[in-house]
Amino acid sequence: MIELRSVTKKYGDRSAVKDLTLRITGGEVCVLIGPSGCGKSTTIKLVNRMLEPDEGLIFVNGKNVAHSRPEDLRRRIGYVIQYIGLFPHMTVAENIAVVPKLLSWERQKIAARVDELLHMVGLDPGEYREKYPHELSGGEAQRIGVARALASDPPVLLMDEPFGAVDPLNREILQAEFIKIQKELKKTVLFVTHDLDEAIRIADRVALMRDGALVQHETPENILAHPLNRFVHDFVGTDRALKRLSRFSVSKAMREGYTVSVTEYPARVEHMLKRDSWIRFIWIVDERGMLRGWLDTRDFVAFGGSEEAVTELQGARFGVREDATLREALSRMLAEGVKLLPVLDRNGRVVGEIGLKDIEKVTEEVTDRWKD
Amino acid sequence: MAASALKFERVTLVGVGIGLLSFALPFLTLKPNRLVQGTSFYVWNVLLPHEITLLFVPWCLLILILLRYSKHPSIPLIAGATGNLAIIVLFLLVGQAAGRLMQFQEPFARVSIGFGCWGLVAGSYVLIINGFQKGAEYGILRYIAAFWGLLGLVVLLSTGYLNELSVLKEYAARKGRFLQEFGRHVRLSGIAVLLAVAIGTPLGVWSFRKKLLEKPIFFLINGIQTIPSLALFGLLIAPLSLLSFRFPFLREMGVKGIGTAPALIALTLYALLPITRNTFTSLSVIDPSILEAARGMGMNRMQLLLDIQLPLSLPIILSGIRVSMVQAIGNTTVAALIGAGGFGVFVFQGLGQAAFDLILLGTIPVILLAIFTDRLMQLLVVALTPLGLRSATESVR
Repeated sequence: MIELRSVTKKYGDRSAVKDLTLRITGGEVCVLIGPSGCGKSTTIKLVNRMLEPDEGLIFVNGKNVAHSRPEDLRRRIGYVIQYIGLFPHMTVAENIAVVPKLLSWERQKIAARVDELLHMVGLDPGEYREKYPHELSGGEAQRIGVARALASDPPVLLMDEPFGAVDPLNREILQAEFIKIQKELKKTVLFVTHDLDEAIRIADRVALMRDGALVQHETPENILAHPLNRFVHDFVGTDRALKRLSRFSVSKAMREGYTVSVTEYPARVEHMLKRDSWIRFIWIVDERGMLRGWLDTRDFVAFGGSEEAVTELQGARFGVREDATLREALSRMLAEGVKLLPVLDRNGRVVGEIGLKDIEKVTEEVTDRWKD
Repeated sequence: MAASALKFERVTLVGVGIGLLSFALPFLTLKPNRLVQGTSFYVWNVLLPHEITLLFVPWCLLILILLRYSKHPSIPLIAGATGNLAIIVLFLLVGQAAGRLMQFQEPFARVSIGFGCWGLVAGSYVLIINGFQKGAEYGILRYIAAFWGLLGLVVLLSTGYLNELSVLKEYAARKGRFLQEFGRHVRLSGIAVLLAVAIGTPLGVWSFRKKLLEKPIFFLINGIQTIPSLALFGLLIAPLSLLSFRFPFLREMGVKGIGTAPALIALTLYALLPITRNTFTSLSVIDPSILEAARGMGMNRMQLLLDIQLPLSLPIILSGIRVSMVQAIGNTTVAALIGAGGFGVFVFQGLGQAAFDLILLGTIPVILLAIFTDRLMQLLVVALTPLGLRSATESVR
């Protein structure tokens, strides 16, 4: 848990951070975001006392940071920065071992921890342990940076634009890995970025800052749906409804669909239509539940129940995975030119369907007004 | 590839050119005694035809090398090794010719090395250094190939083969003194550099940490550097004499207006600049994100300095020490003027007596000492560069 109480930091006459109060619940990722010069980087540096506040109190896990020596405090807080700052004269293993060594761990414990961390960030210890930073790619170096910050298993992690200097493709991979690791480790993370998509992707809560003050502190879904004022509205952009969709997974919005096995066709369809004549689309699956095609019941009537009514599909390309985001589902609908898609599980079996209406229900929560 | 081949050809061409032109210059000079003007002898005056041919052999080889295999990377090193051969052959024949000239002379007569000889040495030296620098990929082999001639020279010198040469006659007359001044020279310059390291490194760290101090510190040590060495030695005489006059305990410690004390002070002051500047620069060029990461991980100032800053800046600091050492070895020569001793003693004696060979007796060892120290320090810099930095450093070199 991290808590800032009425914190102010001044540079000369200018206040970089003004009377900031912020609480980050344990195990949550809080992303600090805002335009350049809004004080987000200053805020993160106040937490591990790289900078000292002029006013206010800061607590990490209930302890006032001002009561620890800065060195002791920092050894208990993981710190990742944009340009990583790997030590070029040390191997990967030595880089990761810096904090454990400062904490005087035993050598065997350190070695085991190094391997464990390399595994965690997806690098083979045997291959990477003895490499020097100049032999690493940007993405690999950033993984080592994260591993190094996690070395002593600190409960709190400060990340100052950690993926800012990585190319877009690698950034997405790193973000996905970070989300995965965080799900497992449940650290309390304060994360600074200026990339809204990144914030929406990884945050449990977004703290939007402007001119050193906190403007809105909310979940990404809510900040996109209900921007507090004109500034937030403009900052999150006109496509906020679309951005918001990426916070919801298909499984949350999907509903049950109607499936019929090829073997039971067309008798079962007739039976279903007799009971519920309003059914419009039916998914045709094989005996294992894999999607084979779809049926428009109006065609079924027109063709008199013949096989020709079924639109056959090759493979499972059609449809969306249940763990995809609504944004992806919408994009698929637009690409296929349909208003309804089957939802598939990891093995490609049909588990339901999702329509444009279901997505609209989520976007309808987005307000158009804000307090000013 | 073509450009580098062209470059190689040019340097070798210059070396071979200097060597070949030198054949037309006076080879040796014969003087009835060490003070009077002498007579010049050309190659064809003192050497027999087969000896002249022998003298030409290495240079013919070099011309062949130049014409035939100009593109292979090992060629500069082979040319350098041949340059060594040229030097050995040269001094073999110099000894021969000197003996021949001295045969019917009075004992006071002197045979000196002429411009032609120096030219041949200079030409070979160009080839050797070129080969050494371009043969970096051959590891230890390049040291052998580039400097094996040195071994030959040592053999020639120790067997007395060259004793008829004037420089060696001067040496023979001052054997004891030579070793004594050698020791003094090494001690003076060595202690001065040690003192400069002890003062200059902290000064560099200090001026890096306190930005306010940077300007005044560098103003001062840059200023010292602009004072001519002779003037600085002279300037120290008055205050030090006064000090030793006022405080007898200083006098007992050996502090006087002339001699070791002012020499050490002046040499140390000169040696400060490269060490302090390199320390400061090496600390300034460390990527700030490295320092931020180190501090953010909980290193205190001492750990930061010892675990991060110093290892990263060590190669550059050592390069500064290397420059200081070479510079100090040269400057120490001048210290002889205020009675501190060293090889300068022979230089100034020689100047006073207009005895060129005595000047050489002081100069040659200084040059050799400087080159030797320079090479040794280069090896040390490489050896002490952290592994992770080595590839980066090598690509710069």
